[in-house]
Amino acid sequence: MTKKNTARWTAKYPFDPLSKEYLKSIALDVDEYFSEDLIHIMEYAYDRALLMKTRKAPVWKNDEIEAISYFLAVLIVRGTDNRYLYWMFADSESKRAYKLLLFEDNFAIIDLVNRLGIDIESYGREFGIPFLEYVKITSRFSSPRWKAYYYRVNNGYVVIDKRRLARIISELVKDIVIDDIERITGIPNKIRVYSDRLLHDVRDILEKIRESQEIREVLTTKNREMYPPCINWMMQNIGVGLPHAARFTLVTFLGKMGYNTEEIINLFSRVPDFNVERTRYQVEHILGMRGGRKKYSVPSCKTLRSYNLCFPDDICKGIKHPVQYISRAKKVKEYKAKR
Amino acid sequence: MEYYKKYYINNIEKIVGSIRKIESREIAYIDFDGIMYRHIALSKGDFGEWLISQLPRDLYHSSSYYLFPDRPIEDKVWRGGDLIFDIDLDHIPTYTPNFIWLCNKCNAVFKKEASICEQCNSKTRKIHVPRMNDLEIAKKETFRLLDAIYKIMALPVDETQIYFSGARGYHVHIYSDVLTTIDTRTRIEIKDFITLDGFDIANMHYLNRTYIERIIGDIQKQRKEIYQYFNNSDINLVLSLYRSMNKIKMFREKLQRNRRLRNKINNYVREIYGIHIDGVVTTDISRLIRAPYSIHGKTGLIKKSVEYDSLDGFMPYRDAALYNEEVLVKVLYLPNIIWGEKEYEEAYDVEMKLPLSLAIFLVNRGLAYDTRRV
Repeated sequence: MTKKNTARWTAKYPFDPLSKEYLKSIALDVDEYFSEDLIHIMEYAYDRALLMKTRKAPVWKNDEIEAISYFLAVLIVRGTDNRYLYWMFADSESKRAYKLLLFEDNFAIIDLVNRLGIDIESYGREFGIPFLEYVKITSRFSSPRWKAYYYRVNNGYVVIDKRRLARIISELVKDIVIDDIERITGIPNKIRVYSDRLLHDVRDILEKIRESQEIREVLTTKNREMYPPCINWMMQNIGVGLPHAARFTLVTFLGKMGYNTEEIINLFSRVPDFNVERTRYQVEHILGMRGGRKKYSVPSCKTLRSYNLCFPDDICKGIKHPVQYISRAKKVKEYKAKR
Repeated sequence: MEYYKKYYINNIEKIVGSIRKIESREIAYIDFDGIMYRHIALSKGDFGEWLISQLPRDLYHSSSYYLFPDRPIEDKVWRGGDLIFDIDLDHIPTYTPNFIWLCNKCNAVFKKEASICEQCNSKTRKIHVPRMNDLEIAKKETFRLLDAIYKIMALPVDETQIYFSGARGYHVHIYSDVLTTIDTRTRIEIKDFITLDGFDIANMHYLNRTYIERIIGDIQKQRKEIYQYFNNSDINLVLSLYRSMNKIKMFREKLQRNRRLRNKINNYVREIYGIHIDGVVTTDISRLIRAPYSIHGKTGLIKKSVEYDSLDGFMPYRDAALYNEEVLVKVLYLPNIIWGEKEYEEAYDVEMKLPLSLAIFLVNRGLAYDTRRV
């Protein structure tokens, strides 16, 4: 690559190991970015960190400044000492990379992925990614459309198109950015001023997150009309016998809804092979009262699908966890009542 | 017990040699009173002596490796684990188990359900009896699994070991470092890929026509299962859907609107094209698995390793059975079975000489008893 190309590439993909060498060669001492001439670069980097909130598309005039702004933004974010912001910054950087990658040619993408340690192959216009790498990365995605069986898999390679590969790379980018942030120790005080400003400017987002976590804690009900279809299916079929995974899900869910052990055991008394003592033991174990005292959480929609226990209705669209269904169902009910 | 002791004394090396990283595994066993002991840690050197002194009826090790294998599960500190697939007849839908009903008093045998003996009106007990070719069904499924592992997913062949499970199926252990540290979520993805759990035809990617073309192929070949899942109008609909459009995208979209047909197709794909494994064994990283070359407490057979090339000719009742000296037993019921090199005809309520391993197999099932003990 020519020097100009390297600058352009680094501006686009500062997380690439190749870019990091270039970044090192052009970076000045942090102090120097606080001089009158260069403070605009500091401001630019701040805006980049703030992309987590503003979500603007990446457009820039100067490749060198764009490249260096990544490095400075990482410092600012690290200075907040807020892991949630690390994650949000990584997420916005990952989305930024995704948008840019869609315009790269296939060879450039293949080289990049190879540098990230994944041996990728060209399959005509598509790409082949090693099966194990594919499932490792996509296991984090909640959309069922990423399941490996929806794609062609040959000789250990999953065949995907450019858009999907870009999405996979962007997921890797998150890890790299978080790693870049966490590797930094010792933040200059001058940077911390920007970090505090960032914390101040995103306080509404942090507040919203706190609230939604609280709501999730509070919303429990024993009204079965508000339960998701999977749970209702399990309730209806207790008497005919449920697979192990379904019993487990039901106990964790009812526990979360505030049922006590006795109430749950009563429900299970309709099981064909019911045994009070054994049921009590298992219920108490799952609810964390016994054994390892580990309280098991309610399985996600993804897990339930994997056990063939998912029977979605309209309210289920877009939710990732059976417990989320309740607040949705409540809203729908209120909406209907108004009309 | 003597049978176990003799076997274990002669085979300690083999067992220790087959359990990789033995000192990092949790060892567990069930004794002859049926009590289970867990969270045992042993070094390679101590294992042999321990085995002979405890003499387990069933011996297990964790599929995972830990920093502290003897601590409770939350404190073990996970360091990785083999990826294990378990093929068991009970999880294969085309397999239907075979039972007899044996009278508790007069030893009469009934092949149809009879809770009361028709001859003496006493209670009967239901006993599972293997058919001659049952294990061939499991073997066929194992070949399908190995095909997926080697040819499709291309997981490391040279770091894979196939075992006869000691009872009603096969285990495949993959112990390559490239995948021992994958987490449960990734293991679930691998399991789902194999079983097709959660599959929905409406989500197929446009680059992949595999399953749709396989269904069309099955219809054209008039595969008999097609008629168990689809009626004639379904079949015509699938064919016309496929013929009338060359874009898989449109095929999917049409199915999105026809929920009934979509469900039928999904069930067909999952049950016919999915490979039937016990998924929990693959996904649960705190699971125990029978130790290689140990004796299965219920059958007296050995969990024995089988090379891929000899799997086709592998006969569990010959190749995983122990000593062949003959003993005299009282047989209540002997099914038609090939054991060792010999075929035995069906037999009822008779005293006969049988190879020790077959005698144990029958005794453990309640189909025979040792005449000396009564």
